[in-house]
Amino acid sequence: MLEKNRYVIFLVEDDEMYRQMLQDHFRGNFKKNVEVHAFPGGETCLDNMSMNPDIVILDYNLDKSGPAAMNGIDVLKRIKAARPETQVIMLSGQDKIQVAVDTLKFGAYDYVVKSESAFLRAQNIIRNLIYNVNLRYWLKLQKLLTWVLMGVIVIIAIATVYLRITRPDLFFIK
Amino acid sequence: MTSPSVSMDFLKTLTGGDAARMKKYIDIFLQQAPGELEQMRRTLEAKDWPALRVVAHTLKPKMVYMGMPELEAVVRDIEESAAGQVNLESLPGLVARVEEELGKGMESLRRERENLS
Repeated sequence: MLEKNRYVIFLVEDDEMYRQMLQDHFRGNFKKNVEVHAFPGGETCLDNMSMNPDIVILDYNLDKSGPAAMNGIDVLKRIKAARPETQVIMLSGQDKIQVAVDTLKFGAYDYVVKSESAFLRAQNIIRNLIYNVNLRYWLKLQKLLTWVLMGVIVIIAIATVYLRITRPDLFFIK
Repeated sequence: MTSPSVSMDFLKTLTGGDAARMKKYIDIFLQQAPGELEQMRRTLEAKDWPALRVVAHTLKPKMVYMGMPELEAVVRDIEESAAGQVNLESLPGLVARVEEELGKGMESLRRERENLS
């Protein structure tokens, strides 16, 4: 299969209200062939990595359930170790350069601050990620078709030369 | 500071005016907020600054989403003060202000929720 027909998005957010808002927003805006799964913590997200998420929206601060909960950076590292091709978008209430640097250093695709525009920004990043995945698949298809076409041309050329030698009558050559 | 009237603009824009969704988010907030305020009080009394930072950090974006942006600045001050353990003497006043204004904000939210069709 050269084009993905199904995308899996994980949301990892320990605050119930924010988790619901994100889940509803993405389910409403990505109806076609996108599954959205929400988790209240990093542990449950990691337990479900067998679902091969394409994109994970991950809260930077996952400490609402207590100091023992895995923090966002630890979850990010574990996600990238388990499945490097999964793209992680970090969400944080802090607009601090060091937080952004840390998340990108450990493999996050992007970093979004929890503000009024966070939902639209995250949605736009996801849209671009899906577009990039589709683009890669179309480029692979284009390459394959190019090789097939070249193969066909070579076969026709060889067949033409062979026939000209063995069956010149077919070409009206006297 | 006068009683904040909540703005429903963010919720209306996010949900496209979907009253059921707006009610859902308001209900979750009204359920969570008293507990978070209580936690803020407790952690302040216990001088548990890391825990106070966590509560403030959680509450901060909700002030914007629930249409009380002026409170977001106050909660941010609490978060930064607790995180850096600076200006700690200002914390009781800030927390008291959040309690008072958030209480009024929640009343406004209940009224707005009832008006949603």
